Amino acid sequence: MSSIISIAKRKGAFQQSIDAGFESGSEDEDVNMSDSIDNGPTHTQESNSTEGHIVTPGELVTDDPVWMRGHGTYFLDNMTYSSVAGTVSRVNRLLSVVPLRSRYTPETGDHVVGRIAEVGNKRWRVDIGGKQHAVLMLGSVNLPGGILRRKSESDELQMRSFLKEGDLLNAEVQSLFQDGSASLHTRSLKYGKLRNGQFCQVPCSLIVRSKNHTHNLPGNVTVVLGVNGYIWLRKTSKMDMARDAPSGISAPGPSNGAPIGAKTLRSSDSVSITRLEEESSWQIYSDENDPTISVSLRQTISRYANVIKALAFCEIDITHERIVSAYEASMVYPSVGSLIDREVMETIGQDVLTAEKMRGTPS
Amino acid sequence: MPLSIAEKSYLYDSLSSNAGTRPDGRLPHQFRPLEVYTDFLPSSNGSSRIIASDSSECIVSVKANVVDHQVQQDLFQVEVDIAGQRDDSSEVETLTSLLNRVLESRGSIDASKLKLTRKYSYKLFIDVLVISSSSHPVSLISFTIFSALNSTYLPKIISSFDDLEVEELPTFHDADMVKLDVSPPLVFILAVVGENVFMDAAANESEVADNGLIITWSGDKIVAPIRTVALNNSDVKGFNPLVLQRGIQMVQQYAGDVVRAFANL
Repeated sequence: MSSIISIAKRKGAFQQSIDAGFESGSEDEDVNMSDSIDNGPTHTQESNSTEGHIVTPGELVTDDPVWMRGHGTYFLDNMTYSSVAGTVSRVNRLLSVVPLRSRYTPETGDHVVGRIAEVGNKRWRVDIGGKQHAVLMLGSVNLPGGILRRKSESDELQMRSFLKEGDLLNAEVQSLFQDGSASLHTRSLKYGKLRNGQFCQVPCSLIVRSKNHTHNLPGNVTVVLGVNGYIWLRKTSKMDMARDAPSGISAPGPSNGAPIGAKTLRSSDSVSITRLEEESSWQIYSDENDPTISVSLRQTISRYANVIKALAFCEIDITHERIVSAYEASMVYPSVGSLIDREVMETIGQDVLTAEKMRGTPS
Repeated sequence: MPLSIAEKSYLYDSLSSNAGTRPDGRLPHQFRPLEVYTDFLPSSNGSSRIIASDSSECIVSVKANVVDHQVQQDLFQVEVDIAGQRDDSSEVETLTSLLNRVLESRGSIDASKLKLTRKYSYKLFIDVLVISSSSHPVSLISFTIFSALNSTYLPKIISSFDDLEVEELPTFHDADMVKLDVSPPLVFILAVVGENVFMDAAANESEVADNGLIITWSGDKIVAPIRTVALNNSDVKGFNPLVLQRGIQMVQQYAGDVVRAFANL
């Protein structure tokens, strides 16, 4: 039966469940609270020491007025309370609460995946899951015909032939505006329109910012982990393979006469960055998928999408290593479809954490 | 949710291939997991709330009223409310009329279970609230109505059954309630992609579906209404009539499992 549908019965709803939970678990919490109120100084000391502990909306963070109040806090009668559920962060004298769940807040240099929401005057508006749409200027994309090409009026008129509403792309946050919205750029061959795969979304708080956000996974799949929680899974292309291959001289084949420092982008057919011009043809804006994506590869991509969702379900930070480890743990289940089950997702999450403990990987 | 052309063609190629690979790897007849809450509205006779794994959510409340069934033929009345949509929008009205048609007294549901006396019957008012839904909500609504009706308790009658001779209004026990025992029909929605049919299409699957089939099932057989429905605004195409047959077979084969899963809660 469970292979057709799994239905779980949950107890209570709305106010009742909250009441019930509160009554049953209230005793020890109450004791804690009265303790901390009785000896106030200890409480402040304690909260000072426990940097990064979790607070809930309305909880007293500190009664020390020296702290500057940052995001996620409010101030009443010289006391600072949390206005969101999250972890306390203290930077110098600035006290803020970083919410556990929130919309994505862009930072310069973030590698994000976004979807075109609107084509406007010399710019695209991109949905990156933030509070506002990000802006991608016509001047911040590689136009067909090479890096040295000047953008002309005809480009402004045919912006939809490059990127149109609904298109997915990966980009880097170039700068931030005063209101916190982002300006993106795709001026590198690793950014641009996304093809040959499927999209998957997780809460952005689960993506760890790292040096590299594009990873080749076992099974000929490449993942683009947008810092905003938008994830693209695709068939590994030649370019993806070249990126992971040892750069420069160690690439197979005779060393080419590229100037020192010029990185080989494609080791297989030796296209250096100096030949960017040929690479950035209309092809980079094509909507055609690779016609040779096999059924088994599609299933592998589905499996990766499911294990990523399983990690998100277990609230485990998503990194390259963990995706691979979860993928290996998921191999126990031959059917990809069984991975959507709650118990299976929990088991995979457990397996990942246990494997990490055994290996002693710092988490 | 608008998808890019590359995404759509990838999904369409996956779904329409012989293997029929779904984006989340499910089998063609596999549903996504559901979470069910029942009996949580204190002022209604039966209630249910279903949360799907894509956080679609639907609440149904069942309230009863005693009516003269010679005057009022329809003993079920469904009202649908979808968050963010006007009551007179076409989607809400289509859904309301469809669900009223599914629960019609002279249709597949056994209305005699609601009969109190020769003159009076219970009339059930079923209020549906769709809080959020990312794909076509009819199946979710139908499942929620199903579990709400299966958790409905009605007051127990203590007056006599035959009231044609002696004019009397039915009287009820103060505390005792009787579980309502109707087997409501279930409505399934299937997405047609190429030659394949898929049960319980997710949002991205609906977006590329050629067409959608609404198939009603009640007590081991397919019943009216059977309809087609457009699951998206951009890629609706015709389909091979044989696909309809395959969809009906699929519902017939697996609907029993859904009922059993609800019964095993």
